[in-house]
Amino acid sequence: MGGRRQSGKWLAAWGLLAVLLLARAGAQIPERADGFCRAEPGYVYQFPRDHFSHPCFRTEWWYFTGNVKTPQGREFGFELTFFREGVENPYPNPSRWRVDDLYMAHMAVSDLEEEEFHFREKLSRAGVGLAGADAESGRIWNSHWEARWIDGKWLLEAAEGGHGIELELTPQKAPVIHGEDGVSAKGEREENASHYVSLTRLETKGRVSVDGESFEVSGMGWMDHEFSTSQLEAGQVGWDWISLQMDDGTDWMFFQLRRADGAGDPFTSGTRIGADGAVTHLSAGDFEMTPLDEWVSPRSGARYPVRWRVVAPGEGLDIDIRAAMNNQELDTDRTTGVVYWEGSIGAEGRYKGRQTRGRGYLEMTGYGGPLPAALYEEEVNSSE
Amino acid sequence: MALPPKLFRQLIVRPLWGMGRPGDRLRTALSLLAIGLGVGVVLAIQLANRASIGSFQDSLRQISGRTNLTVTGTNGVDELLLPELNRLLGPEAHLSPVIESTAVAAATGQVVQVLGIDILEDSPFRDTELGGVETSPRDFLLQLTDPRSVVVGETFARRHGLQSGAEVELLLNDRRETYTVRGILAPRGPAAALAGNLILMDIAAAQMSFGRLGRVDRIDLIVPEDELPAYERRISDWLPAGMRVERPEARAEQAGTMLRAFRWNLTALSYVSLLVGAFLIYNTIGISVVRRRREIGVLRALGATRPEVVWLFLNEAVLLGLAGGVLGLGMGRLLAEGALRLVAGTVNTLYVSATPGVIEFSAGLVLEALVIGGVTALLAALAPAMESARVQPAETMRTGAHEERTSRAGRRAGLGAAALLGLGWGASRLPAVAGLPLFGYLSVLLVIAGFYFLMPSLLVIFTRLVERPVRALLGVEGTLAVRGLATSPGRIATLTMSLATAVAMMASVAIMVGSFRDTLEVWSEQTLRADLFLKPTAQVAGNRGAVIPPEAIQMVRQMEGVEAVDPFRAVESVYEWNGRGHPYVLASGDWKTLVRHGNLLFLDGRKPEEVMAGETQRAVIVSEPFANRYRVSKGDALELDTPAGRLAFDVRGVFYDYGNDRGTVVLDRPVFSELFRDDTASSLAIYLRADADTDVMSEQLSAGLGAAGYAMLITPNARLQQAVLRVFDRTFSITYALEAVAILVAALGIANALLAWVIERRRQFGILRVIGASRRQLRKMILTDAFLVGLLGNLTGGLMGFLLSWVLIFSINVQSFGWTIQFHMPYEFLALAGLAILVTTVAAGLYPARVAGRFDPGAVLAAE
Repeated sequence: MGGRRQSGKWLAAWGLLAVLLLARAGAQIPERADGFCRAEPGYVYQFPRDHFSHPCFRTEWWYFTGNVKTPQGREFGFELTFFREGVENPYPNPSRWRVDDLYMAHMAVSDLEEEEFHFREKLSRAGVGLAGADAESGRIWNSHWEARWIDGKWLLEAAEGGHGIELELTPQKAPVIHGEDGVSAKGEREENASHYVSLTRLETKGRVSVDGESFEVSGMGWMDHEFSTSQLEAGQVGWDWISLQMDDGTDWMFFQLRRADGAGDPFTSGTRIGADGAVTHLSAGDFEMTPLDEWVSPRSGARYPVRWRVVAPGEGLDIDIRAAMNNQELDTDRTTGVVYWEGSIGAEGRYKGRQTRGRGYLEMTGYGGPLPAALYEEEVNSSE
Repeated sequence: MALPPKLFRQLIVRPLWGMGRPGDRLRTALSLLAIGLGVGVVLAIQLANRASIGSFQDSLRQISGRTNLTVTGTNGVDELLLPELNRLLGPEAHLSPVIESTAVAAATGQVVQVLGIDILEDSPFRDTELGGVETSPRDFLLQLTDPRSVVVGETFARRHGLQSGAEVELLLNDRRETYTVRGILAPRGPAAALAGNLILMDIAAAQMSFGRLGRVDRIDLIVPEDELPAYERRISDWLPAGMRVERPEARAEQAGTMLRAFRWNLTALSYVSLLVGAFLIYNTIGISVVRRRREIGVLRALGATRPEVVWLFLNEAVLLGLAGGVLGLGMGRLLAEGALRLVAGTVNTLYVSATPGVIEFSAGLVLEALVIGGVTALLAALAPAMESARVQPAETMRTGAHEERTSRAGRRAGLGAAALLGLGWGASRLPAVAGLPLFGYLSVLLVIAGFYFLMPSLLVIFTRLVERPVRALLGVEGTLAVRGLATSPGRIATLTMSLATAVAMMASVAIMVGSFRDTLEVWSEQTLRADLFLKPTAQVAGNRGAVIPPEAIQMVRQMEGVEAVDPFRAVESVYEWNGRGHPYVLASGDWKTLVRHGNLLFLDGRKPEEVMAGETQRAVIVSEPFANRYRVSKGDALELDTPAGRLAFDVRGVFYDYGNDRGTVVLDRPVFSELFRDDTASSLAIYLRADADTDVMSEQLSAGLGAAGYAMLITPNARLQQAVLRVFDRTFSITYALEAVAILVAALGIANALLAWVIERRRQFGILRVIGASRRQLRKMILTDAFLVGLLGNLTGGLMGFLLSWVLIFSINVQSFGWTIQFHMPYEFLALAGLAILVTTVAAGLYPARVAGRFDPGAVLAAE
């Protein structure tokens, strides 16, 4: 681990890191030696290096989501996700094809006008460079799909079967590190935690293609990057996650873990990012998410709450959230094996006594069957 | 035709099945057996060809799955080409790197196909699924993390008693190692194509096990079908030199081309048995016509037309042919197992590591057997059946045995024979057609046809020549026997011809094989000079691609007592010629070591030091088959695709080589290693110091390499020389088998014909008995006839065989395989074989002789 303890205000840290960013200097990212690392408090982030791979952690993902529309007002949601899953491989083999990590990717375009959901997935090993997340070249990629960090912007490119995105995402705010002291706790045990970073407000423009037809679009995107070795504990069956970009300039992230017994999980958490970029951590007691309407997936039979009410009394927030369309379910049979719902949402309500509205993305897992074992706790060789 | 079926039954079928005269049933059985054997051999060879070569091609096709383009290169493809290719092709194309080889199960010695793939990339290409449980590609892959993991096909698993979790010992490349079975493949895709005889490995594991780190054997592609030509062009323009993009069918085609000459020659040889069978049918129908002259006369007198009569006899032939076909079907099935083993062995030794397929009996095959049998019989019976049309009703009212009209004796036949033989000679001088010696085959047929017309004259001359000595030796019975032969020259000539054809086939092939063996022996003695030869055990067992890693070569070099090592590396390659790719062998050896210690025989008689000395950077020597096939000669510039581009090499010389018929091009090792980035070896020639003991060194090397984990086979010079000949003998064992069958068919024919002849001459024998001849004397007469027929058949067959062997060696062989064979008569073998045939012929006369002895003179005379 970095070893240096972070102190002071977030903003000050960002100022310092911005300098480091330009210098491209920084502490070494730990390698996977005898086993996987675990998320520990005090982790010092360095960007853009920390936008890329952390091979010492077992699970790592990059989510790019957002809502865009054409000049004529036709609306689309998009999702491009890259996953890396570390594989335990103690066998020596100098081949480039040896498997230390599996790389998966999901791409979805929500055509809100036609109410059609277009989803594609990929699964690769790194091999001779078929997939990876490499800070040197500033790329996160899986076959032909990629996210490139160039001149402080993300360039996304992914297409298959006539559907795809080609977007440029420019951060409007500094990276947000969720949780406390660089760690987003997910369970009772200390090691059940992740490092979780977001770029919450990305001005987005480019093109979206649906059924071979390409549209010029612009809008707002969000990037989540999370890496951990184990996140969930027994009894946690899934989570609901909401990202919101409000018209008033505030961004919100709400994350709720669900337990099998239906009880509220103490490790539910959230983050408010002010219009000025100021970050406030929200704990389980600070807000409440209530499912309102259900949609039953005809494909999997899973019942997803596609309408929520989120109330954060201390923040003066009370909003109603609705899926922009119901069917935004991903059946990732060939890759992660998870059936989940991830899609475009709209939000409307009150914040600090004022009417507010916004757009965002909602992710719901654990409704269509159990989550993969790799997300759950197990023996971990910590780097201590 | 108007003749009622009842007549056909009465006149043709009943006598066939022995309701006529004694011995008829046996005669029919012999005819059936002969045609059955002919058809059986043809079918067996076809089945074996299909099961070994055809199934190899099929499996090539099926193992490529939904691949529609393949990128290959000499000695594999640099794996770093993959991401570049991926970028070039864009998101609509799929790529899958493949390592393809074979392994050998240590327990059974069974050769099994190995496919090394990235299951994640490969799923659009091939259906590779685990049996039993449904496994996601991800979990499938994770089960193969340990590089000593394999997934095996059902058949292989069953044969070796394997199940998931079991261990299996495999000879693979340079080692013998234990692998863990992680699953059994469901019988779909490649596993189904190879009849479950498949091992699947992860590509990382395959690279390590086969010593191909950094390289793959090929990259399979799936590109949008409607834009295939555009993609193909784009890849072709972009590909680095020495790489090829081709459709997967092209690989099967190349394999087909490579094996075509071998397959054709085998097929042609199998048809000789059928030809021998055809002579017998000819004979049988001829006899049938003669015996029914009376009935024919009656029929004609009663108003039957000539075509009706001809039709009657053609029907008899077809009936025999069809029945023989059915019998042949059974025999083909029986013989096919053996034939497959022999054919597959040869294909494996000389061409490709192919796992033999399964002999498949199809409805088409049944039809084929019937058609072959029926058509052969029909064609063979055409002439004698026509003969029946010439029977005059009045003529048949006279009693007595009659020789069929023969137009074959005499001057006109002699001229015809001369013309045919001349044409045969001419045909043998014509070049190959599409790489096949079609005119060579024609030449063989013309020579046989020529002798067919010559035979009656030869018989007449022969009977005149032997009359005196036979009388002197055997007395009056001898004279009668000789005269008997002379009275029916047409029939006896045909009979002798069928024997002569079989003998000719045997003799010509024996001369060819004997010459080849002798040539090979001299060649190997002169060119294999090293004291020890070393190969990976897996290679010897059937994993042709197995190589010796540089570390092992270094170990051998440093061994005390080793004077010099010549690492030989051979790589299957493709030579662009006439706009098409042709498989050839690209090889390298250490020229300096070869010049100092070894030897090669060059066509122009120069010594290696004259040919291979000096600058070798752009020099090659080529094997004789290569030179013949692609019309290359000394001093030419030969263009070869290398990773450094298409380079022109100076052809320094052409050397005799019998290792393969695709052709070999040899580079100096340093040049090859640099160009192709390959420092492994396929085999090592090890030269020892004068004071080193071969056996001791062999043991020390074995022990040293074994301790380092290598599985290598070390062969001393003398044993290798023997091994060369053993491989040769194994390769030709199928030809020996085919010859034996042809002789057997001919012997059956002799028994058959003599029997008919004896039956025919009942009356004569009856009279002889009446005037006082003993049974013994009759027997003696018939055995003498058998002996004389055997002698003439042998002599004529020997002469014909000698002529045919020239066609075989200097036309068919050169055009098929491209190598020179020095003519060499295997006198001893020929003499012994001739004697054996003579004995067989006399033995074939035993039963007819007994039949003749059983005739009751009174009854016979009364009946006539």
